[in-house]
Amino acid sequence: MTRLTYYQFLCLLILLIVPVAVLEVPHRLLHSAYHNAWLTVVTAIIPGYLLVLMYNYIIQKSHQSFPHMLDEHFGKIIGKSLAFIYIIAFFLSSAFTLRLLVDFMKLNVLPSTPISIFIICMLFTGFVAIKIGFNVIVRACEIIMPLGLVLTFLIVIIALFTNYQPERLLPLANVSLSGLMSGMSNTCVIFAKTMPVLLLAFWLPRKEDALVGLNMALLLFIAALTFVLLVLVITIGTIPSLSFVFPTFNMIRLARIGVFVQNLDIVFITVFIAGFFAAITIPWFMACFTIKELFNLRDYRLLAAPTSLIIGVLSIVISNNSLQVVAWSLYVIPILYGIAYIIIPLLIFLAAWIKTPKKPNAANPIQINSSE
Amino acid sequence: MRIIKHKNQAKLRPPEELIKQPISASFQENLDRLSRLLSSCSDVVIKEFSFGQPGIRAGIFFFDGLVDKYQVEYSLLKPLMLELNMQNNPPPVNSIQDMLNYVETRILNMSELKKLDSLQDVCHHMTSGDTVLLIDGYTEGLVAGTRSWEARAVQTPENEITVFGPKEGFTETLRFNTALLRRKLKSTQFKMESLTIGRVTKTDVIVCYIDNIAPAGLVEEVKKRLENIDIDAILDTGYIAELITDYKWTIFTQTEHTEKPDRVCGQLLEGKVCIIADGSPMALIVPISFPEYMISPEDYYVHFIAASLFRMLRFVAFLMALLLPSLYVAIITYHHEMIPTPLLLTIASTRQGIPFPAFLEALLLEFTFELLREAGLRLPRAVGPAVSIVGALIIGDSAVRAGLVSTPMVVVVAFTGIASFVNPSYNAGIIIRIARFGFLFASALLGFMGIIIALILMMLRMASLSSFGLPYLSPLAPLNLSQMGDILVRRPWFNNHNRPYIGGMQNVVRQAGPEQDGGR
Amino acid sequence: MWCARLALNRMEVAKMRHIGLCGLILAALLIGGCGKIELQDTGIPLSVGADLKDDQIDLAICLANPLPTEKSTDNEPQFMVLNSSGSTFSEAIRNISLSFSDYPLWSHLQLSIVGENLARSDMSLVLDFITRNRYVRKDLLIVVTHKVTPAEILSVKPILAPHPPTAIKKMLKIQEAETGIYTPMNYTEILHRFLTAGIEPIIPMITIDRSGAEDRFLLDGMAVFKGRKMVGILNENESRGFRLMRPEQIRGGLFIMPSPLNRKNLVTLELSRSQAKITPVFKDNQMIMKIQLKAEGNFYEQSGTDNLFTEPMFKRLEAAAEQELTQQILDSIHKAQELNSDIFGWGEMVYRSDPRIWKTLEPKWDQIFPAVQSDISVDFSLRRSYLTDKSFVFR
Repeated sequence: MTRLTYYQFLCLLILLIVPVAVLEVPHRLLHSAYHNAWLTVVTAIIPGYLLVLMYNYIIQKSHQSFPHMLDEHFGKIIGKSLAFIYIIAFFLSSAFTLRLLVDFMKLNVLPSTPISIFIICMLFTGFVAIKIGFNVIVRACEIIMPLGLVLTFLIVIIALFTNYQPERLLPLANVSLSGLMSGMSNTCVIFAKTMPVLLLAFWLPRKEDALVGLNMALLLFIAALTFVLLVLVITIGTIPSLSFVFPTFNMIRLARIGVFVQNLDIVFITVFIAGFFAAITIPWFMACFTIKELFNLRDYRLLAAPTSLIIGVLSIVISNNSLQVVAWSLYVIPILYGIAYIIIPLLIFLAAWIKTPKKPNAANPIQINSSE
Repeated sequence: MRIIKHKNQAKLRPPEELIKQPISASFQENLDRLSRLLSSCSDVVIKEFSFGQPGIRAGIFFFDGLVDKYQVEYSLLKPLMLELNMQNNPPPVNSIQDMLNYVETRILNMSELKKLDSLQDVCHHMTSGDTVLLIDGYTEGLVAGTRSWEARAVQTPENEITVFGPKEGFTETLRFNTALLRRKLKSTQFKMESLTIGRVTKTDVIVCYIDNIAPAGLVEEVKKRLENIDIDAILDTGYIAELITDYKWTIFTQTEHTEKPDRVCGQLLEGKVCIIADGSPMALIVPISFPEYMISPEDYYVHFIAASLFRMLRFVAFLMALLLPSLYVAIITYHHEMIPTPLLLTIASTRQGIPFPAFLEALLLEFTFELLREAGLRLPRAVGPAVSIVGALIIGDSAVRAGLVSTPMVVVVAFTGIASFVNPSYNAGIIIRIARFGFLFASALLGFMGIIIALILMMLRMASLSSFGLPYLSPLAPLNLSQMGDILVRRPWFNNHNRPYIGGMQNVVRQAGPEQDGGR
Repeated sequence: MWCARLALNRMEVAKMRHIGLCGLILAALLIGGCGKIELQDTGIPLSVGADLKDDQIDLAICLANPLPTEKSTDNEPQFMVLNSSGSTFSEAIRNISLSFSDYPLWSHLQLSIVGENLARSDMSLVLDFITRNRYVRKDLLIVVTHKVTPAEILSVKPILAPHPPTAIKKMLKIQEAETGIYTPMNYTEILHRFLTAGIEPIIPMITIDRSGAEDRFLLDGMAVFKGRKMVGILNENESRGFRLMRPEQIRGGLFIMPSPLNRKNLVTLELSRSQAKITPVFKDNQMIMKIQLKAEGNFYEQSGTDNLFTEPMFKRLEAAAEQELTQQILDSIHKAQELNSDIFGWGEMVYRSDPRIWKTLEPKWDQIFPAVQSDISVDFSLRRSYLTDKSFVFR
C-alpha cells in the first residue's frame, strides 16, 4: 500500500502544475490580457479555490480512491467508460507535456539534435521511474521540487534586476472582460491538472490534509505564475514577449550577475527538465494505475514498457510543426483538460452531493446516533 | 588442476566422521585421533605427561605461536607436574572421584577454563590459540585460554585522519577492538553478541549495539542475515558488507566502514548496529544513508559553526567531484554561450591544435588521474614520490607543451581530484569516482540535458535503495526536517536533544531537554 | 539456501538488464554524436555589421582570432573581418561558410552594427533575423554607422582593446558615465521600441575619425527612427536632452554653461543623479506633457577665477544649470517633433496614464505628436565641489 507524507503530497501537486505553468502559460495569458495578465492570474484564485473545494468535497465523500470512485458514484458501466476516457486524457496530457518540452529543447537548446533522441531520453527516464515504482518517483519529486523552486526563483530575480522597468506594468487593471475571462479560464485549466489529487489524497495518512495541501498548491501556483508574468512585463515588455514562443526563457537569457555569470538559461533548463520529468511521469503513472485498476491487473509496473511506446508515438504524432503545438496548447488542451479535469469531477461532485442527503435514511441507525 | 585442488581440499578438511566423534575415555584413542586430524600440521605441539601418584596419563595440545608458552608452562604444566606432587599431603590420586573437576577447581591457576567434550571443539579451540588438556579416563577435556600472539598495536588509523578527536584505530585483533569500544561505552547496555562465520576461517564476528537504543528489529535482522551467511572464509568485514546488504547490483554501497572506535561509538549511540570481525581493522556500520557519508566524526569535535561550514564545503566538493569534468565538457562542446567571451577566447586559444575532442581529452585525463592514484596506493613507499613527480611533470607540463591536452582541462581534472579527496568516506569516494565517468558520457551525448537525465536516473536509483529498511536518501527523501538539521549543517550539541530517528527506535532522547532543565 | 540465493540473483539479473539497456542507449547515442561543436572547430564572431548595397545585404563580420598565449605577438591582429553578401540576411550569414571554414558561434555576438543605408531603408531586415536566432543574445548592443560602412568601422584597429566590438561596447558604456551624451541601446530595448505603439526607436551612431594618423572610432549623434526607417539624427546637445528624459534614474555626465558672473567664462558641472518624471495632461483637447526633472550635481571646473563658492552664488549656479538642462530638453523635443518621431515614448505614457484617451488618439498620433506642448520644470541642486571649496586666486 502506498503511503504519502503531507510534504510529498504537496511536492507532487506543485510539480504537476508549476513547471508547465512557468514555461508555457505566460505566452497564452499575455495574449489574452497583455500586461495585466498577472491580474487575471490573481483573480483566478476565486475559481481555483472553488475547484479546490470541489476536489476536496469529492475526496471526503468518496470511500474509494480515484478510478473506483467513478464506479461508486455513477455505477459500473458509466464508471468504467469514464475511467477509459481518463486513461486517454492522462496519456494525452503526458504526451503533450513531453512534446512541449521536446519542442522547447529543440528550439532553444540543442537545435541540431533530432527530437526522437529527446523523446527517447525522457521516456527512458520515465520508464525507469515507473518500473521502479511510485514511491521512488515521489522521493525524486521531493528533492526536485524545493531545488527547482529555489533555483528558478533566484534566476528570475536576477533577470528582474538586469532590466528593471516597472512602469511597463501601467496602466493598471485595464483589461477587457473577455481577456479577463480567458485568462482566468486558462489559469484554472492549468490548475485543474491537480486532478490526480483524487487518487493521491487517499494515500495520505489523513484525508483531511488534502484541503490544506490543495490550498497551498493553489497559492504557490498563483504566486509563481504572477511573479513570472510580472517580471516578464517588467523586463522584456508585453509586445516583445508576445513575439517569442517561450518568453520566460528569453527573459531568463537576459539574466546575468556582473559580467562573469551570464546566460544562466542552461541552469534554468536543467532545472526545468527535472520539473518536466515529474510533470510527464505523474500523469503517465496515473494512466498506468488507472489501466491496472480498470482491468484488475496485478501490477502497474508491468505497463511501463508498452505505455512508454504509446506516449512516445503520441507525442510525435500530436503535431507536425511548432504552429500546431501552439494550436494544441491554445485549443485542444484547454478543452481536453476542461472536460477531463473540471467537468467530469464536477459531475462526480454533483453525484456525491445529490447522494449525501439520502445517506442518513439508508444508513444504519448507529451512524445517525453518532452524528447527532 | 581441478583434481589436485580437490585433493588439497580433502586434506584440508579432516574426515567428517573423525571430527564429529566425542572425546573418548581412553587417552590413547584421543591421541591417535588427534594425531590423524592434525597430521601435516607442523605448528602443532602435543605434550604428553603423567601426574599424581600413581601417574595418570594426560596431554596438552596447542598450536605454537598462538599461545603464551610461559603461561602454559607456569600455570598449566607446573601445577600439575610439580605442585600436585609437592603438596604437603598430596591426596592419593585414586581417592579423588572426579580428578577432572579437582584439577579444574583446585589445581590450575588460570582464569579462563572451560570443559569440552567433542573433538570438534578441541580443534576449534586449538586453532583459536587455546590450550587443550586431555586426561586419561575422562570423556571431557579442559580448555585453557592462553591466546597470545604477535599483533599490531593500537595505532593511529592511516586512512581516516582527523585533526581533533581520538587518534586510536582498530587493529586486526578482535579483543583489542572490543576493548577499545568497551572503554568508551562503560555500560552494561552495550552488548556484543558473538557469532562464528566461515567454514574454514571460523571467524569470530561480533555484533555490537546498545540495547535500549538500537531498534530490536534491526538487531534481529542483522543477526539473522549474519547467521544465513554460508561461506568458507571471512577475511575482512568487506565480505560481510557484500553478503548482508539488500541491493547488490549497484555501485551505491549501503554500509559504512570505519577504523575509528569513536566513530563507531557515535553511530551506536544513534541506534546503529556495528559489526566487527576478527582479523579486520574495519568495523562495519549499518544501516547508513547516502547523506551520512558526508559526515566526518571530526564534525562533532570542533565548534559547530566551523563544522557546519566544513560540511557545506564538503557538499560542494561532492558536487564538484561528481560533475566538474562533465560540466566542463558540456559547456565547451554544447553550451559555449555560458562562458564569458574573454574566457572563451582564452580557452579557445589553448585548444588550438589539440587533436582530441574535449570529451576524449577529459576521459583520457581522468583515466590517467585514476591510474596515478591507484599507482600511488600500490607502489612501495620508496617509489611513491617518483610516481608523483612523473605524474606532475609528464601530465602537467609535457603533455600540455606537446599539445596533447589543453591546460584548462588539466586544471579541471586537478580540481576534480582535489575535490574528491575532501570526502571523508572512502565508500562515497568510490561511488563518486565511478559515477563521474557516467556523467562524463552523458554530458558528451547531450550536454546539460544528458547530465540532468543522468542525475535523475541516479536519483531514482538511489531513492529505490534502502539499507536495512532505512531509505538510502533518508533525511532528504522522505524528508525529515528535524534530521536535516544534522546533515546539511552540524547541529550544536546544546541544541541537540534527540537522536536521529531510525524506524522502530524506542529511546530518542539524548540530552535533557530545555523543559526539564527549566523545571530544575 | 542456495535455491533462495539463485532466485535472488535472478531478480538482480532483471536489474542488470536496466543497466545493460542504459549502456546500449548510451552507446547508440554516442555513435549519433549530435549537435556538438568542438571548440577548435569554431570561429567566434564578436560583431556583425550589415549594410544595404544595390538591394543586396552586405555583411561584415568581425571574428576574434584566439592566439595561443605563448606565440602571440603584437604584430598579429587579434581579429579579422569577413565580408559576404546575399539577398537576405540569413543567406548572407550562411554565405560566410563559402569563405570561412569553421562554425561561427553566434552566441558571443556583442554588438550589431547597422549601416546608415540599411537603417534608412528598412530595419526589419536585421531585426527579424536577430529575434528569431536562438544563439544571439538579446542584450547585445546596436549602433548605426554615420557616413561610413560597417565594414570600415570593423576594420579600424582600436587602441589598447583587442577587438573593435569590445572597444565600441566599452566606449558606449564609459562615455555615458563620463560625459553623459549618448544612451547605449540594447536589443531588448530596441525591440520594445520597434514593436510597441507610441514609442519610437533611437540608436547611437558611430563614425570614423580620419583626422589623425590612424583611424579612430568616434561616437557621433543618435539615429532617430520612425516606423522601420531612420529619419534623422540627434546632435550632441539633443542627445543629452533625450537622455535626461529617460524614465529611469541616470547617473553621470558633464555639462557646460556660462558662468553666472561672467558670461565669457565657462563652468563645468557634473550630473551625479537625475530623475525625470513625465506626466501627460489632457486638457481642452490639448495634450501637454509635464516634464519634471529632479537633478543633483557637483561643481567640476571653472575657467575663470570668480568666487562662485558662496550661498547666493550656488543658488545662481543652480538656476543657470536648470536653464541649461531645460534648453537641452527643449532642443531634443523640438528635433523629435520636427522629425515626427516619438522617441520619448509619450504615446506609451498617455496609454499608461489613461488608456481610453490613447484609444482615441492612437490613429492620429502622427498628427498630434508634433504639436504636443511640453511644460518643463527642472530642479537642480548643487551638492559639493570636490576637494576645493574656494576658487583659485592667482597672485
